[in-house]
Amino acid sequence: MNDTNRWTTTLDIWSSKIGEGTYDLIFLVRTESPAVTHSKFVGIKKFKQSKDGNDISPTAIREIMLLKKITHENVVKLINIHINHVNMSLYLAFNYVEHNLYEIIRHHMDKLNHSINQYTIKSLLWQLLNGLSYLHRDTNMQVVVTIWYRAPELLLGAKHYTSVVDMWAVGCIFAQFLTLKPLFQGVEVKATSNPFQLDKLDKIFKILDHLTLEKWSSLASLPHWQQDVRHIQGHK
Amino acid sequence: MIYTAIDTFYLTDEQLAISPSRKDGIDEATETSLRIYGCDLIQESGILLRLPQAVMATGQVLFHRFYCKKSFARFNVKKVAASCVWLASKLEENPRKARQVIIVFHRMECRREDFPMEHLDLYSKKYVDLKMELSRTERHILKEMGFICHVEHPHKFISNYLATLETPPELRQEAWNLANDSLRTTLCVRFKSEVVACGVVYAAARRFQVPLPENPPWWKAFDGEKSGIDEVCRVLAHLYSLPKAQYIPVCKDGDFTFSNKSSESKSQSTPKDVPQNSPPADTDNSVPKGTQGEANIESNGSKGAIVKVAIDKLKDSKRSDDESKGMSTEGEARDEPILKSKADRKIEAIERRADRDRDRERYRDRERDRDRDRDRTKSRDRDRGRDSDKEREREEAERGKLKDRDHRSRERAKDSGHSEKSKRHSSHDRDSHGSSYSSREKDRHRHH
Repeated sequence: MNDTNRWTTTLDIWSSKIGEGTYDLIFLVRTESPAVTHSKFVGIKKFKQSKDGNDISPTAIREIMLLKKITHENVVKLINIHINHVNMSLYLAFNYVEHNLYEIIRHHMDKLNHSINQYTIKSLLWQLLNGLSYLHRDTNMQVVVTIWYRAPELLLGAKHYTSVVDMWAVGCIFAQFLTLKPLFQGVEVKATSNPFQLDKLDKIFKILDHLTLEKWSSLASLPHWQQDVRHIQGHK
Repeated sequence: MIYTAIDTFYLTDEQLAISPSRKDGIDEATETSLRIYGCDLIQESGILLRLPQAVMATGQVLFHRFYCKKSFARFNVKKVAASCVWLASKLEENPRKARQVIIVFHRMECRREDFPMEHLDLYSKKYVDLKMELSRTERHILKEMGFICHVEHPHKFISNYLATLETPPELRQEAWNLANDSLRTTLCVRFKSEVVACGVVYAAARRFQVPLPENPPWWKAFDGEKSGIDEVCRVLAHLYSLPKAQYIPVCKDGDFTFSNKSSESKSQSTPKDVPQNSPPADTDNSVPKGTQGEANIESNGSKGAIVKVAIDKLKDSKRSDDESKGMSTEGEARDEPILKSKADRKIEAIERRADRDRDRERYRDRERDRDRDRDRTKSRDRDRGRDSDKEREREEAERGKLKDRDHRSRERAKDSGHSEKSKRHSSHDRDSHGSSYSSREKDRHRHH
């Protein structure tokens, strides 16, 4: 509590809203601590209110639980969680990351109009794999990804999957570093809770050819392979 | 959960003895009763929300952890139980809407605390306030947990232990039931899941008189300690010796209700109770409330006793005339010794039936369960001395329940894989009542 009060009272808002994501507002804040001779920057995220009110989504709870346990140079650090006692609003403090991968890719596409240097790609990929290796080894955790990087078995409704799905995601990101475009840019149908995404699978088929039992024997055990096999094959 | 992590929320006996509730002047017996009551709410609401048993298990552990850090005097047990179920449904990836949770808790409250069954207006200020309270309490829980809500359950180890020990198959159901019942106690914040698992395996083996290796002791292979096992058995025995847990208002900020009319009814009843002697009035009221509150709870051990008490009442009422029935009521109100003697008779009857029940086979037990359902329906029918409108409402409610049952069976038929799990949970819940009761009987005999 003392630590919380300390960094709370010494907050100095450096900049107003700098981004938006799962959370409502993201601030760049400078903190000062007697123990540190110079200040450091943290990003503070205030919890976005869902349409139903102050509901904390299952995804957010899970993310917070995981981040609290993680300490690794290649994984963003959750410094602190603060709950306002008056209205119980929720703030998360992270190490401030100047640029995310999306911004780097956009920068090269729009400003430089030039592909990313191969040594830079190598460095970025190493950091990504190093962090992922830590997550797999020490926390036995898989990363939930957006649809662009979602592995076929997830799209086909697999309930028991392994860290292999993360390797698929890394491969997609690697390709995006090289070409500056998403490799499988599917449009997610969010109306249903059904993990089956035909558009995304279609994008994969165009590049990697169709799925067959001969190539991938465990296909038969995936729920949507059984239910939608005609639908899938109809898109040849 | 997707990931595993080290479970670190454990307290010593000394820490539990000076819990926040104790510091607020709540005695140990009251805190224990409220913990059981809260867990009963979590279990029953989970059934009504059709949640897998793992959600109720996680919810009950979070509930106990929270009240190791906060007092029952400052956080209403009903609010916390509701938020624990809600939070657990998210953590175990079976999220439910806040609206669903509130509706279920409102209904349970009306039934358990004998409030008039009212319709909850989803557009009223009351509902909006309830939703806000649910969310605020959830954040309090997350805050006290430090957002580390990982829970490991003893159930996870039971099957492996029993398979390794090569025990008879009936031990599994018994151990599973005991593990479910252990969640109503603070065992989950005192011992690791492995220790609780060893304890329930030990208790199940003793109940069925199945010998287990003692040289070397079998529990050593499962990271258990004899002292922990003995404590698990002692705590479970104590749980089965307790009467049905009732709601006890202890909040400093005044009582909380999901219902609207409760405050009015209470304000009306309060001036009446003040001049009269409240203890005998409470005594009279406690029995019917317990009976009613008992109706929907399947997995609580004490249910068997109360159900059989109700059955006794049925038979008594059958034998006697209306006039004698009225007279007996007055007699009960006037003389306490009569009540005691009747209670003794009921206990004896229960013990006799327990002896008979043991001799019966499983199939007969199933038939017996059906008979019990019929008896419950009959008791409900006879209790309907109130307005015809309320009777109709209840009939509709019961029809809804029957429909729900049919719906559940259909769902199970549709999805074979899911139905297996559902059957497991449902069978465990059903049997836990019987076996828990049997465990209690066994303890009584030992005591004798």
